[in-house]
Amino acid sequence: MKMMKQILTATLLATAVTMSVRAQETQPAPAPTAVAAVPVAVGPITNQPEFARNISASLVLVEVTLRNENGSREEAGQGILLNDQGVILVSGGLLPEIVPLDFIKDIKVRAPGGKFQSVPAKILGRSHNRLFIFLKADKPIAGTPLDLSRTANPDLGTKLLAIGLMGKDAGYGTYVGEGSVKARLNMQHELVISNSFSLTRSNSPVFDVNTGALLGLTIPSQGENMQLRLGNQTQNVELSDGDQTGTLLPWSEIAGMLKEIPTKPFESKRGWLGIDGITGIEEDMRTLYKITQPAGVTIGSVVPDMAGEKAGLHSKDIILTINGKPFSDSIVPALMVQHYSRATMQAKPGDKVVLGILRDGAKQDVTVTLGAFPKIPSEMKHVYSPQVGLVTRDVVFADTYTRKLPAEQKGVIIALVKNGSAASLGQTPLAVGMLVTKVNDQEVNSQKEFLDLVAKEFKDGSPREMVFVVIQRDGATAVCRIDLSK
Amino acid sequence: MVNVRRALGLGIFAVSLTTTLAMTGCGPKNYVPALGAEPNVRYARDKVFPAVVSLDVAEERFINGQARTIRGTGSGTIIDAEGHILTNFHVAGRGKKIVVTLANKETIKGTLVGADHWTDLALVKLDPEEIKRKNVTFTYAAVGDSEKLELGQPILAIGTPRGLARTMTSGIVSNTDRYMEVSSIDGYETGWFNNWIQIDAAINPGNSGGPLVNMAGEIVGINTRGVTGSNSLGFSVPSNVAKLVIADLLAKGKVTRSYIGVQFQPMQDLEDFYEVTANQTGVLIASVDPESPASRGGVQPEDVLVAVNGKPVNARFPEELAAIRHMIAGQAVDSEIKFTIQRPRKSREIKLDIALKTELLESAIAQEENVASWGATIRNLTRAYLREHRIPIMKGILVTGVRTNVMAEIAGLRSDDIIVRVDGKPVETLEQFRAVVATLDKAKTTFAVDVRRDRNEKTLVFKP
Repeated sequence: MKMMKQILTATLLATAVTMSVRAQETQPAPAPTAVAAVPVAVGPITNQPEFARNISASLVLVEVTLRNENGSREEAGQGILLNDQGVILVSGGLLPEIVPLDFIKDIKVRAPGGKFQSVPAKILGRSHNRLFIFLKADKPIAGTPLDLSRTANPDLGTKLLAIGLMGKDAGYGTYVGEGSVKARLNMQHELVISNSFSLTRSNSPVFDVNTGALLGLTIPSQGENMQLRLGNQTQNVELSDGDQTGTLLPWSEIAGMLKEIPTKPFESKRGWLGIDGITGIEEDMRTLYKITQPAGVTIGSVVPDMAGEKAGLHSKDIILTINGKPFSDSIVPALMVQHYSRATMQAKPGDKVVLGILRDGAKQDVTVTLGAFPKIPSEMKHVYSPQVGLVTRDVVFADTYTRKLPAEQKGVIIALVKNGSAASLGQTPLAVGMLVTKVNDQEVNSQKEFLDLVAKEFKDGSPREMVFVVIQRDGATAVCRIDLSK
Repeated sequence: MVNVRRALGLGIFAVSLTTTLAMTGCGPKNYVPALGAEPNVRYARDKVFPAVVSLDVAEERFINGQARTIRGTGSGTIIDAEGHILTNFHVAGRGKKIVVTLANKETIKGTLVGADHWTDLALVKLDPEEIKRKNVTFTYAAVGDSEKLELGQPILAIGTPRGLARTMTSGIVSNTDRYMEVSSIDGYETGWFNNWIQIDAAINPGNSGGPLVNMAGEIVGINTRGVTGSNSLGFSVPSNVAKLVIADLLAKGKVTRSYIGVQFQPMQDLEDFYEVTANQTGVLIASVDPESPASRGGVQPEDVLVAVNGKPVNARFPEELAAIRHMIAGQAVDSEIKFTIQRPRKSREIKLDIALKTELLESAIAQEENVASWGATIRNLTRAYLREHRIPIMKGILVTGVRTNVMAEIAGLRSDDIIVRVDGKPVETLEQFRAVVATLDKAKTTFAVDVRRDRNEKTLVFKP
């Protein structure tokens, strides 16, 4: 016990010392009007404090309230001011794709130049690679857009400097993190591993100490078996080095998306082949089918009525090339799948793609006109019906696909059941995830029909009961009665 | 619906051990003491105790593709002069080697006659050769009428709790008609066709399969379940359920039931909505299995089943569901059954008769076997399994386990894969599969196996 206390105290002291060395007081920013980006130092970063102060003028803190009928919580993250229109880049992990858009409230931005007074902001949308979210402040931000004129890609051994802002409890102070590039990974995204930037936040700009060029942005990671959270995804990366690591997304992964800043929140404009169960080919498959190139992916299943099926793709087809070129040179099946995702990530609906496939040992080309990626649940309008204590939304493709129902299955999905409401009580309570097909003997084919039905049932006062026919997550139906009598 | 199992953490009892008691005296015939009168424990004891046995059972189970011998102990009762022992399915239903220890401590080999996981019952037989050779005698107990049980009636439980054979405990009937949701024993469906007798006599793991005894010295239940972490909450399968199962197991070695493909819900609080009277509610059809006789016949969710073959059915409470399931299951397989359906409110037809043809009720689980050369275990693919997992009806062989670092695992085969083709040849039955594998074992050449994994199809390369 005594030893544990000593270890704990030593750790706290070490942290306190490091913090005091690295923490910097904020300096007042230029006047709170939109200004052009101030070029950063050209050449080596020799005056770190001044450099950090300049960069911190481009950093903001973003606070979001997520609220629904069962409560609320706050999320916070760091943002980067991109231009003088008040567009801010934040990590996609701040608002994962699973969070319904309608549950996102009260986005506030706090900038150093404005003495961290909050400025409301709205969501513009998600980047095409799903890793970032673009916000726009409702009023001018007292900050300096980050200079994006000098960028480079990090190489092994490059000495790095990351600049970040501390949170509210630490007075929004600036702090820096040092590191060097230990590895570069070529996965679904390119990733750069450094030693720890442990004091910097996610989404901090990282610079080459020797040239002052912007190299990328930090992303969350920890430990030697890293779980990298990229937007909505988690990737596992195992490293043998015992040191803690930091991770950054190199500029090559970021540059492209800045050319297409969305204008509508979270509208899916992704192209989709409509194939599922993609797996990388093993060595034995290459031998069996005499495949000379190292990488390919096998189609597990073809989604009915989607682009892939219409173009004539079959399950077990092996995709070897996309538009005439191999999409991966890896011999690791899991990486082949990631490289395949990367090669198709930026495709839009309507794009034509030629897939070089192998089927039953014979090669052929299949031209697919991509369809649109189906809408995801969080993009759908979520509406609360206080009379019954339910938040509902329209059915999307994923709902029918995961429940193994026909794609044309209609109804509404229960997205939330208010705690303590009539819907949550009784012998057969309603639950999140149920697909409602009928209410009080009337078919429900859409959110609108459901809302109209509820309004009609309650038009002349509360009905005594409502009886729902639902399809549960396992595909079986059930009848749920809610007692509305007083 | 009351989910007693989830709420109370029910466990199925099975465990092991032994002892002896002197047996003296007897009481008047057909003696059943009035409720409240002092029970004649000695009389009841003497009639049943000498017939209660311990069962040491060795099962061969496959776990992750590896054969393992699992040993367990439970209880049973000899019920006839031929030496048939009534016990639980989960005690002896998968037994490869059964050793029976009689009340007089003699041990005799037992063989499984048949088992029924749906009611969690099994029948074992004493080896007649060994009985003769060892010159052992045994007695048997009578199976009584569980329908006559009353709440509060004194009862005895006899068995082998925690290995302590020939243990007797006493208590009362706490509930004569306890409902529990259907559940499973290692995937084998159970608890579908009966409610339970709840008792407060102490029963523990090891008591499973042992008798619940009334004061007339008759078996009125088979002690089967308890509530983990609770005292005095035990559950027995009623003897009247066992009588039917015994008859089938003796005649055919199995129980055959019919399947229609509907899931019921009780009508309590839904009477007004579905416009039924409290006296004649029918039972609500909550769900219809895909590709089942009911779905093909046009039965729909929310139909109210009011009669089966002209006989009214009613279930306001969950306790009434098992009897309806039992009625349907008791119909002959491949025979016509008439459902009288009430379609409520806005539907145009108020009442209609639907003729359906029953199918054989199958378990989702079939007999498992080992494919030694692959390092995997497999089963036949049943329609029940396909329905449960919402896989379109197809033929194939289900993989149930894969050993590590052997051919199948290296090739990428996984549990729950459905093998559809081996070396280019479709494998729709176990016989076909065995034949193809035997040929490939001899050839020892690389071959491809096509599997279905959830929705996806995959080709795996096997290298001997």
